[in-house]
Amino acid sequence: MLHGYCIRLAGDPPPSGNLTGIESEPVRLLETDRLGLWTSAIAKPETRSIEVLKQHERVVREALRTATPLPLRFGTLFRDDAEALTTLLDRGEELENALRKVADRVEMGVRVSSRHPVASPDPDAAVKETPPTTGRAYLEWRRKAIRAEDEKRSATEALLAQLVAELTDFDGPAVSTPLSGEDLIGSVAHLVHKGSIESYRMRIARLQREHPDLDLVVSGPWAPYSFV
Amino acid sequence: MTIDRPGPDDWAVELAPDGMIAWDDGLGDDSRSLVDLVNRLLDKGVVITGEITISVAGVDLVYLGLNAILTSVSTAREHKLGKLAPGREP
Repeated sequence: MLHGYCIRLAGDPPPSGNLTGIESEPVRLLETDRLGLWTSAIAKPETRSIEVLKQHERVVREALRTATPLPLRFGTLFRDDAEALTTLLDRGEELENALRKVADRVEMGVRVSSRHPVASPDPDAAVKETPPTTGRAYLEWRRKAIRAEDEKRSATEALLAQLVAELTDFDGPAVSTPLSGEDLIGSVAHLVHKGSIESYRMRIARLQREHPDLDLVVSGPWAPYSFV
Repeated sequence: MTIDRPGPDDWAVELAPDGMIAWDDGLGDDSRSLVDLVNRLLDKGVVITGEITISVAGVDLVYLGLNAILTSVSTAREHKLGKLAPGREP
């Protein structure tokens, strides 16, 4: 079985001979006349961990060094070389077009957290204190909880939309993703030219000064996960 | 602001002259860094096969160990992630 990392154009530099990926297997190139797939053998696809995710990402980053790849969704498996090559042939034109759109570009992200997180009230607190004794009371409690979640989601989306609107300096598209957990609000990703990475960082630095209540962390460069 | 970290070797970047901005290469170990990694690898990228096979055991460690909603519940179900940590509703 093969684990797939990313797709590139045929003729792009192949993986270096000593590059290894998941399970320390050598990464190799499978090519059609138009496309190439970076892949490695995998014996235990059911084994997953944070470290495996990082091993996958390190391979994609290696590909990104020489040409922007199309990163595959993690967990993409092929029975064998034949299945992998057939997939490339069947989707050739579509994948080539996608590669052209991201050529010489990288994904840069900014992760947004609140510097003054407000502890979310325990949605079950009221229930624990005074358990609903009737169906009506239960439904009202559920309605309040859902409304609170909707309001929080709307506020998050509005803030991310505001940040996207303030970052119009970049000619590429932007994607925002609400996130939750601790003080996380969400992330915004941009597709930027490789030569504009520093400009991106400087722009985010300015944005940070304009929003002292937020904690902004630049991440990347990534392969264009959010734009394929 | 936190101290800036150098970027990848291929893109040697000088510190921004007008200040610093925290930079995370996405391969760190803190939970926020892992959010970026997991969000991209599990929820984004090209899907070219009919089924994405993601194990349960290993990703359980990801999902539960971080103790945060890293992907939407619907995505978790789509990817056949394991059970939620005790005390959390699906």
